[in-house]
Amino acid sequence: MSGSDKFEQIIAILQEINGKLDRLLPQERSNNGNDSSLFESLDVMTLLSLPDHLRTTATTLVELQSATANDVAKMTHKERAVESNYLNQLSRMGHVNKYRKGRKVYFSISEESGN
Amino acid sequence: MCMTIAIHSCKGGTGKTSIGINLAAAYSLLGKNVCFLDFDSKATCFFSPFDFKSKKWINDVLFDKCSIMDVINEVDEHDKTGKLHVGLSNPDISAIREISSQDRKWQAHALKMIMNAKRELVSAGMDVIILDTSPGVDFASINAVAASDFVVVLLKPVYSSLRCTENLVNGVYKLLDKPCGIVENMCHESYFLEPVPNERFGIPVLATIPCLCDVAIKTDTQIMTFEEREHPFSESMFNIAGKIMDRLE
Ligand SMILES: Nc1ncnc2c1ncn2[C@@H]1O[C@H](COP(=O)(O)OP(=O)(O)OP(=O)(O)O)[C@@H](O)[C@H]1O
Ligand SMILES: [Mg+2]
Repeated sequence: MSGSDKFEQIIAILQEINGKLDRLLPQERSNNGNDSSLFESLDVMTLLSLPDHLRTTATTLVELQSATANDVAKMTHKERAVESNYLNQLSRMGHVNKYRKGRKVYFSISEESGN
Repeated sequence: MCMTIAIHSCKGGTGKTSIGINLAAAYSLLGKNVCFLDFDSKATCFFSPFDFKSKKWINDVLFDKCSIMDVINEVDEHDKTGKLHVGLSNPDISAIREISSQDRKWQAHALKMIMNAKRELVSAGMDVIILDTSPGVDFASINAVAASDFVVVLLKPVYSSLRCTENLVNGVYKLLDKPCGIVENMCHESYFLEPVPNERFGIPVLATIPCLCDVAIKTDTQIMTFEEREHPFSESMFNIAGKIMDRLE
């Protein structure tokens, strides 16, 4: 196989990957628009495999079921901003559900929303 | 304050159900309002004093079909100052097959249902909730452990049981931040020739119970803590009950 053949093969593969990415990305975007569609419930085995800092936050949320970063911070004796960061991480990982109720942001371990 | 105590062990047949029932009875004799719940949904508790002809089961609570208050029955007939309630899992084989085939998502929901049930029992005035579990690591047992405030870890003080327990301590209880106490059960008489440990894996040993042939027979059909309060097995139950209260209160 000559050098230019190889080059063309690489281009073909890259185009294929590009096509696949194009098909994936719109889905990703619509998911990001709505946190709860990413949400997969948090089971106890997943809880056990979380890194220490996130596990404490998640365990507290299992206890409270639905709470603001402030509620969690009161239980863990950490800063509200720290818990807010951890809760948002858990939400991005799809382990907790984030929703708004009035002016407050709530996190929950199940698919409840603002009502 | 209500305490929820899970009774767990890495291996089967360590005495979880016998000790769970008798510990619950001990708390009721100490004047507590107690609820014993059978969370061993795969090998449910068959025990003649609990033959209530239940219409509702813990399974129904986990499937969100009824409240835990519809599941529990009161055991009376004894001169206890407190109360003893019992909730069982459905022993029907089709119910066992159904619950054994649930996925992670269902198990996450089940944990939420257990937490709800706990809240309901607390508002109904329970002082102590005892959760009997299945051995080892599976969703049914670890959900119960996660819902508890204290774990009674049963073991036989022999090599296999100790290694396996150490795994559970480091890989489950510590990760979930659960206060624990070890109960060494079925100890051979030679075990008592030397001083018994008061701690293992950094966890206090709450009691060391000898292997007693009459216990094996009697716990099958009666609540020993009610029937024979002076028996060394019953005395151990009061001991464990007191030590857990000291730790949690
Ligand atoms: N100290 C003891 N001495 C002798 N026999 C005992 C003692 N404690 C429990 N047993 C007996 O051991 C057997 C197993 O006990 P039990 O069913 O309570 O264990 P378990 O941990 O609940 O078992 P499983 O893991 O199957 O649920 C029973 O027959 C019980 O009566
Ligand atoms: Mg049992």
